[in-house]
Amino acid sequence: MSFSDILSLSLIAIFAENIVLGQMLGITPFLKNSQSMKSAVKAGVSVTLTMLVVAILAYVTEKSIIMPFRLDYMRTVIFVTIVAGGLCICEAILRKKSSYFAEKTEISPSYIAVNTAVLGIMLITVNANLDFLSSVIYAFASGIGFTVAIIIFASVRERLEYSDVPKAFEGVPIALITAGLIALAFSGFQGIKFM
Amino acid sequence: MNKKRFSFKFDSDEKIKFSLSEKKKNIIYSVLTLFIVAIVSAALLSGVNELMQADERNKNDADMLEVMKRILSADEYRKTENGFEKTKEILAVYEAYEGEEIKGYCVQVEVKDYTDTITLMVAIDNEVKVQAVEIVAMSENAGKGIKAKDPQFLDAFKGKDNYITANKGTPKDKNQISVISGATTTSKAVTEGVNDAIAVVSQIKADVASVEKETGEDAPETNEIPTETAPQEVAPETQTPTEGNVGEGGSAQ
Amino acid sequence: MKTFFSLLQKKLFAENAPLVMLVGLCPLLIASKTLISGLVMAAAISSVLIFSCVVISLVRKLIPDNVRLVAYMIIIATLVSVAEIMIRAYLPTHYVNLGIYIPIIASAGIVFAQADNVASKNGIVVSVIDGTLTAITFSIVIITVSFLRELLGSGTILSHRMIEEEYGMSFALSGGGGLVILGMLAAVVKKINSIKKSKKEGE
Repeated sequence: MSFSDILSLSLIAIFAENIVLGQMLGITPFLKNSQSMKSAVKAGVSVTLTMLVVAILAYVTEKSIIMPFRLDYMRTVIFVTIVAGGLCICEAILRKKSSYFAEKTEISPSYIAVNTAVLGIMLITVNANLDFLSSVIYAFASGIGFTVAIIIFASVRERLEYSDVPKAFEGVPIALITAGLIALAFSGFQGIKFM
Repeated sequence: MNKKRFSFKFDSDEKIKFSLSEKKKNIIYSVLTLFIVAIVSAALLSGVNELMQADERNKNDADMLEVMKRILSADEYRKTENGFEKTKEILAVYEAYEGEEIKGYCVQVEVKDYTDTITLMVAIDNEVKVQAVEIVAMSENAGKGIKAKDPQFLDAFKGKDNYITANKGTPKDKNQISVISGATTTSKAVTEGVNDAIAVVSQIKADVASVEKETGEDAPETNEIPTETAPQEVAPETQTPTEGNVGEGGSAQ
Repeated sequence: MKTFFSLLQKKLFAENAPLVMLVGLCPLLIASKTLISGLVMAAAISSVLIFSCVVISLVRKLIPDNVRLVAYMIIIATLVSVAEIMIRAYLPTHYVNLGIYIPIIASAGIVFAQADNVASKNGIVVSVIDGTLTAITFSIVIITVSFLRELLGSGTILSHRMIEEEYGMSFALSGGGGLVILGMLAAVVKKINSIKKSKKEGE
């Protein structure tokens, strides 16, 4: 895999097929965690890290369990169990080992497990039959894409707080429309030929 | 969502409350419950899957029959499983019979670009020449790639008999076709699928020839083609590094 | 019956799952490009919602608190897989169309929120009624959105041509267009809510 392949794959994942604004996965956490810049960055980083780990696990289980035993029909259950179980174990260990985590953080497993972007990235990399390196790069770049999108959206929302919006559109409706317009801007990247 | 409800009960208060053995018992009970849930779910799923698969295969065959009649008319189509290496991409291979003679082959291929899945039906005649390509199904978000349904693009495959390359601009070579502008990835994926189909048919041809050779029958015509097309078999295989033997399980995708 | 309608009204407006609580937006946006795929997704989500309510309200006392997340996710994923197998068997063209987006339901917030907030706390009757109401709400929203998107985007309804092809707005078919349409609907719901609220206060 040459450098230009890596670059084009990551550019596709970040811009042309942005996980949130292009493929519409993980919209709920995208809208819920973008109220402030701080929570947006937090969500972006945690989703990126989870995606990276989860894509590796998805590749390994696909090649070692699902393909040899022909468990295609069990794929969803296996992947969901990996995500939810892994997060629960991580959380339990972190809570036990560090008092800081137990007291301060609000991140709970359901916060990431109920995120279609995480399950989506596992299914996309496996379905597209990507090799190990490509799937890791694609997942990481998708995480970066999520972070970029949520930071842009959070900064727009901060401005929205001070703008004069019709009463019926205040809050959720204008947030949805703004997200749609940002998605429109991102769809401009689809015309660029990265390959 | 509820953040507090999923916090684990490892807080300091609870540590004091629980004796160690009780805590261990708790963990064992939790793990056991999860295990039972997982077993029940696996049993249920495999049961449903088993039940549905036979049904599904018949239905798929019926749908494919219609497509095949359109692109390569023959009296009878028989599914074949022998003589080629099974991969995840090849969903099914049919022999088209006219009377007792094999008229050609129809290969159902599934190709993927980054997010889309495209199912193709490729009709190939006895001389390993592509007769027709039809897109059987395409996933929803194909949007930009939907142009591959464009008959002009699909017609370009007609008569090709060797490893096809897809390039931008007008084709210079006989086995070259031009990609659809704005849908390069999709065009390349479709081309890859057609190549897979050609490879499979030439494998079958080679197999038939070798069987006939062994039994002592002379088959001069069929013998010639596989040696000529031998290099194609290698080329598509290197692009799909996944180990084959998914077979019928692959059709679940 | 009267209470049922008042409950449905509450679910449709004050507690609208996709438009007010913002859960289940991903399947909604993904499967609403055409009316028919919207209908398939509505059927899939409704059946998963109702069956997960049944199963989880039955086993809720057996599952210890600390593994609830994993257990519920496994149960939901199993039901989603069953729905996926059914769609693959009976509606193969839609299975190809919706691709990876049927398994996505397994991690969609709408099912999990329903399981966790309602089914894990209530008996089977209450949770099934609540699940059905949520399913109806989601179906109404997805059918409206997919109807608008198909009509505006490709000018067809269930592949019958309604508007000349050259007047189609391809923006409505893109994800952004879906979000904008959703935003408009959310504004309508918000307006209705505020009218209702002021009426109540007036009394």
